[in-house]
Amino acid sequence: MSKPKKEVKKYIPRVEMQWLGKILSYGDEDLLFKFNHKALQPIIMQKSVLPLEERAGTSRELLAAVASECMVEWMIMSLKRAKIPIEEFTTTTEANMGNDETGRTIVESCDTVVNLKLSDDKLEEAKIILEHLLEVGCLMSRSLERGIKLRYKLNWLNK
Amino acid sequence: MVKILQYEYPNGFYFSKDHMWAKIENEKVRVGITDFGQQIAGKILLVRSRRLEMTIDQGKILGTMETAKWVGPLKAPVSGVLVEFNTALRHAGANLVNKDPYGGGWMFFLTPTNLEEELKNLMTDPREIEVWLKEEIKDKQAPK
Repeated sequence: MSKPKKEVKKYIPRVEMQWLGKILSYGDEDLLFKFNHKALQPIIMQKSVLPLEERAGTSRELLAAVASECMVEWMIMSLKRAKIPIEEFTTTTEANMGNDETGRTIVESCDTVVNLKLSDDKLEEAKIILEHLLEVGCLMSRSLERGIKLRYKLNWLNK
Repeated sequence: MVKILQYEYPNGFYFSKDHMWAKIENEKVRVGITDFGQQIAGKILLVRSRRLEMTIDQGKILGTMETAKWVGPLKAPVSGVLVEFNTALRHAGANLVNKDPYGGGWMFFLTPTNLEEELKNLMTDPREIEVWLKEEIKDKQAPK
């Protein structure tokens, strides 16, 4: 008799946000983000402790994290599969601002600098692999460059 | 066709420990990835070749293959001059490697430069392949 198949729960990328404005020690602009992924710890965004002029920019920082994380993960996975040990690996990503045709602010581009140190004898192999990888892009770079549709639906909680 | 564990390792082919195969055809060597290699790779999306006419040493990279989660090296089972790439494997055609790794999913042709000597580094004996493959499977399943 064959074993019953283990049911695999379909993973849905999902982030839940809670406004913390009514919770003691938090302020009007403080938010809690919870992720549907075991590798991601909740993030508390505490803007209310900052002066007004320093509060903007958190979403740009998150976008910059997205732009680097996906590519970095792919690089690490590829190097690991090719048995190329990593000695040092850091990245810096900057989100560059601009304006759309109506004059509103937009993120025009993100630039990521990857600093990588590998063992010298594996360098040639790594260069060929990473060249391929950078050329075709990662899930996020492909998606962002193409443009992602963002839909918002407003649910009124008033009875 | 010989099946080792659940993977196909056909007769008449030489197999490298980089999961590549070599088949000698009219003084040239046809090269591809093994059934085990393509199965652990998962869905192959794109195969790329290095520049034709390059001389590539045994164990060095002939090209790269892209899967959903990583880009991996395709290493030369023998040294030689890279003379042909199976262009059918570009983009949509790359799944030929998954469907038919020893047939339509072949990848490169080499003009070998040290064939007789280097064939000794490749495997043909099913018992030898089985022992090595069991170790490979253990290694791939080991938690990192």
